[in-house]
Amino acid sequence: MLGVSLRTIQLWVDGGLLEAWKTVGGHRRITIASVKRLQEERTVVRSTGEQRKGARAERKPVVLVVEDDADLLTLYEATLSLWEPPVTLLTANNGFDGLLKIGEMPPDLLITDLSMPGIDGFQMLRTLSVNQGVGHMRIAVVTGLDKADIELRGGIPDGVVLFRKPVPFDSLKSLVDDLAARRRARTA
Amino acid sequence: MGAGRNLPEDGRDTAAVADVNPAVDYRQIFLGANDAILIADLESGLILDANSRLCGLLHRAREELIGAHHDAIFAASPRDDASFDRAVDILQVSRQPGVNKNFLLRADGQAVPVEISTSLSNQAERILATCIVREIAEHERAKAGLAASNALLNAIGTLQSRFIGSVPMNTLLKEILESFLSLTGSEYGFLGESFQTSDGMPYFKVQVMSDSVWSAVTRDFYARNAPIGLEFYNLDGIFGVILKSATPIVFNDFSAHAARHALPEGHPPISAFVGLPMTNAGETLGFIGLANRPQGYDAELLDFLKPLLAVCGSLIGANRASQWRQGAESELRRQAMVFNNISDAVILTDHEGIVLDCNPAAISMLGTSKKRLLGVPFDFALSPGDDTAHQVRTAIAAVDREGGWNGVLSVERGDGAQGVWDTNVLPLHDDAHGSSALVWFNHDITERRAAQMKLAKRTLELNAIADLSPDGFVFIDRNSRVTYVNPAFEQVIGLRGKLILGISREGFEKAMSELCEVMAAGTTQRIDGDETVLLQLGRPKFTLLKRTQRILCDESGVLEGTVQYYRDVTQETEVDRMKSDFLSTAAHELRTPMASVFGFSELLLRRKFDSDKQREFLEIIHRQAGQLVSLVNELLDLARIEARAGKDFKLSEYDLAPIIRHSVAELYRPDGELAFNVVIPEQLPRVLVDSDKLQLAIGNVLGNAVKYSMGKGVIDVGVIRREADGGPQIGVLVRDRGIGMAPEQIARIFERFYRADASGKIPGTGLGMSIVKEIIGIFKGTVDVRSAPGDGCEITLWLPVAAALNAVGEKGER
Repeated sequence: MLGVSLRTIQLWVDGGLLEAWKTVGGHRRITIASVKRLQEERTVVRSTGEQRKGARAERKPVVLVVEDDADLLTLYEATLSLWEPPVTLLTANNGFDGLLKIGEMPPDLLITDLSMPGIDGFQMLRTLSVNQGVGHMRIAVVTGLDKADIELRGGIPDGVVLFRKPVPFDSLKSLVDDLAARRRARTA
Repeated sequence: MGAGRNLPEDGRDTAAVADVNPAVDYRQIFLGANDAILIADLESGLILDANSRLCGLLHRAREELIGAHHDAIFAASPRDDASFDRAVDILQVSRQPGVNKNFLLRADGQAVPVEISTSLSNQAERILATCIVREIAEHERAKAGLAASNALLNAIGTLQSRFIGSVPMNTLLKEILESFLSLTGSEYGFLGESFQTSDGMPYFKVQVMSDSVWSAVTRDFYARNAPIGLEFYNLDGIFGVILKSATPIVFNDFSAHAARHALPEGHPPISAFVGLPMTNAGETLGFIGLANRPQGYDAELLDFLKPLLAVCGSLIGANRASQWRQGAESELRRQAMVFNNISDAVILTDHEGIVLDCNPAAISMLGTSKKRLLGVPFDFALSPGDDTAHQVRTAIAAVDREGGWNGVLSVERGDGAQGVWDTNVLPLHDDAHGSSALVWFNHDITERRAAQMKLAKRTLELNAIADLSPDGFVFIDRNSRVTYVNPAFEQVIGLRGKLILGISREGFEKAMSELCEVMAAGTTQRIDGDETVLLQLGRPKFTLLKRTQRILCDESGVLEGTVQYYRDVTQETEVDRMKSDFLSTAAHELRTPMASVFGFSELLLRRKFDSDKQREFLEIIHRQAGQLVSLVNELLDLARIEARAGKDFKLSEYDLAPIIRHSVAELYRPDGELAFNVVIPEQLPRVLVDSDKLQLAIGNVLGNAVKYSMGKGVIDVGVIRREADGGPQIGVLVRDRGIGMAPEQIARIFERFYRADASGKIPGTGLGMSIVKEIIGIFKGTVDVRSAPGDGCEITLWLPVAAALNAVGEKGER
C-alpha cells in the first residue's frame, strides 16, 4: 500500500513545493511539521483508500479530478457517475490536495485544472514529473488557459494530454476505456 | 795532439825565447791590457788564465774562469746573423788565422758579441792559445739602430701610401698598430681614437687591438668587439690621463701602478706599458697603447717612434677631415632633396616678402610656375587681398621680433578653391640669398580643417542627442576608461557622472553590479555584434534596464571604444507582463463558468434527472451564467475605460448627494436585512464627474461592503473633507463591519481578478475595485482603503471639489 511518506513530502518540498506554496498562498507557510499534521488528518482518507484498493481489485478504473471550481467538480461527479463501465472518482480542489491523494493511491487517470489557488496544476505536474514512483497514470489537463499562456507559464510535462474547457467528457471517457482495454490485455 | 807533445817540457822554446825581452813585464801587460785576453790549453781545452778585462767583460771572477773548459764561455749565436761565425769551438777558431767573430757568454746568460784574434805558442810541450777578445757590442747596436730606422721609415711610407690608396680606415689602423708592435717588440697593444658624443661628452673608442684573450669568455668578447671597437666613457683613469697629455706616458713598473687594478681578472700580466698620444694640429685624436716590451720603454725608443706617431696623428686627422667633408656633402645633398621633394610648400622670401625661391610642392599647390612666382610678393602669390597681405606682414614682423612665426594663412589653391596653410616661418642665414632671407614652411591643412570642422559639428550633434536622450549612454574608450556619461544615465541609474568619469571598465561594472539585483547572463543576446542584456536594478528604485553594448572599431579593426546604451524598460516590461497576465486570467475566469453552463446543460439534455437534481443543475447553470454576465460586463467596462482613457466620460459639475443616494437605493432590497446608515449633509460641494460612472464606482464599493458583511452589521455611508493635492477634496466613505482584510490583501485590492475570498463562497469577478480605481482616477481623485481582518473595511473615494477647481482656474487667469 502506498502512503504519502514523509520522505515523499520532503521530496516535494525540496522540489520547489515549499517555495511555490509561499508564493501563491502569500501569507501561508508550509513546514514539515504542518505537512506531518496534514498527513495525520489524511489517515481517514487513507482508510477509504484501502477500501478503494479493494475496488481496484475489481478492475474499476480510478479517476482523480483536481479542480478548484465546486460547480465543475459537481459536474464531474454527476457525469462520471453515469459512465459505464463504472469508474471510481476521487476529487481534490488544489494541487497540494491532489499530490496528497496521488501519494495515497496513484489513480489510473488524473484530470486536472491548471489555474488553482495555492499549488496550481503547473506546480503539481512539475512535482510529479520530478518525483518518480507514481505508477503509470495517464494525465489529462482540462483548462481555461490558452496554449500560448500555458507555454508562457512554463508549459506542462511531455505525455500529458491537453484539453480546453468546456470539459470534453467524451474524450475523457475514451481515455478511460482505452486504459481499461489495455489493462485487460495485460492481465489476459 | 802529437805536435804539441813534441814541444819542450819546460815550455821554453829557444826560438821563441829569443823574442822575449827580459826587460818587459809581460805579466803586467797581460793583466792590465786594454784588450781582454784569454789563454787556454789547445789540447785539453781548459782555460789557463784570463785577464781582468775579460773577467769584467764576462762578469766572472778570474778564479772561476781558470781551470774551466772554454766551452763554458762560448755562446750559441743568439741571432740569425751571417756576419757572426757559427763555430763555438775555440780550437777551430784558433786554427784559423786572422780575426773571428763570436759570442761569449756572460755570467747573467747574456751573449756578448766579440772579435777574437788567436795566436798559438809552444810552451813546455803544450800548445797554448792566446786569444785577444774585443767587444763589438757598440758597433752592433749602431747597426741594429740603422735597421730599425729603416723599418720605421718603411712603416711610415707604407702607411701613407695605404692611406692615399684609400684602404679602409680600420685596416689602416690595424696596420699602424702592427707596425708599432713589431717596431717596439711589444707583446700587446691597441689603438683608439677620442670622440665626442652628440651632447659633447668625450669618450675613447678602441678601434683595433691585439689578441690578448685568456679565456673562452674573453675570446668571445674579443671576437665580438674587435671588428666594431670598444667604447670607454669613463675617462677619469689612465686613458683620460694619456688623452690629456701631449707626450707619451710610460709605466715600466706597471705591476706596481694603481692602474693595474683596472685590468680585468685573468688578464695576462702587464709588466710595462706606454701610452702614445696621437696628435694633429695640436689636438689629441687618440692614443696607441703598447705593453710588455721585454726591455721596457725608454726615452730613446719614444724619440725613435716620434715621426711615426706624428704621421699616424696626421693620417687620422686627414681621415676625419675627409669623413666630415663626405658627411657635409651628403647632408647638403639630403637638404636639397628634402627641399625638392617635401610635400610641404617651402618658399624663400626676403624680408620684404618677395619670393626668392620655392620648391616644386609650392608650385603645384599654388597652381603656378616658378617663373611666375619668383620676384612676386608672397602674399600676392598666396591670395590677392588685404587679409593675406596683413597676415604676411604680421608674420614677417613676428620673425623680426621673436625669430619665428607659426600660424594659419589663407591661400587660393591651384584648383581655385580656398585653402588653409599651417605655416612656420624662420629666418635663414644663407650665403646665397644674404642673411635677410625668410623660409616659409607651409603645410596644407585645408582637408584636415574641413574634417575637423565636420567632426566638431558631428560631435555637437551627437552631444545634443545624447544630452536630450531619455536613454542612458556611456562611452568607454580604448583604454577601458569611462569617458562620457549622459544626463539620462545619471538620472536613471542614479550614479553621478562625476564619480564614474575616468574610472576603469572594471570599476564601472562593479559599481553597476552593486546596484543590480539581477544581471542574468542567460538573457544576453547578440544581434549584429551588439550585446544586449537585461539588468534589474534594486536601487535607487526598482528598474528594469535593457543594456545594449556596441564595440566600436576603426576601419582596420582596431578597438576604438565601447558604447553602452541603457533603456529603462520597467514600464513596458511591466505593462507587457500585466497585459499577458490579464489575458490569461480572463481566459480562465471566463471559460470556467462557461464550462459549467455548457456541461450541466449538456448533462440535462442527455439524461433524465429527478426534479431535485434538475433544479440543482439549473441553479448552477443560472449562477454560473450570472457570473459570466458580470464578468463580461465588467471586463467590457474596464476595457472601455482603459481604451478610451476617459475620453467618452461626460464630465460636468454635479451635486454629490443625489449620486450617493441613488447608488445606495440601487442596492436596497425591501426584503433584505441590509442596513445602510447614510449620513449626508444637505449642502455638499459640487464635483466634476460623469454621474453614471461615479454611481458605478460607488455601487461597486457598496456591493463589496454588502458581500463581505455577510449580512452582519450596519454599513455606514457618509462624506468627509480634506485638503490635499493643492485643494479641498470631498470623500465618499463606505464602512462595513464585515470580515475585513489583511494588509497583504489590501495591497492587492486593485489587482485584476484578485479576490480576497479564496473560498469561492462569495460571488464576484475580482474586477470591481479595479473599475473603481480607474473611474476615480479619471476624476483626478484617489481611493483609500483601511481595514483589518475581522474588523470591517473602510473605503473612501476622494474627489476634488469642483468650486475649488474653478476658483484656482480663475485665480490663474487673473
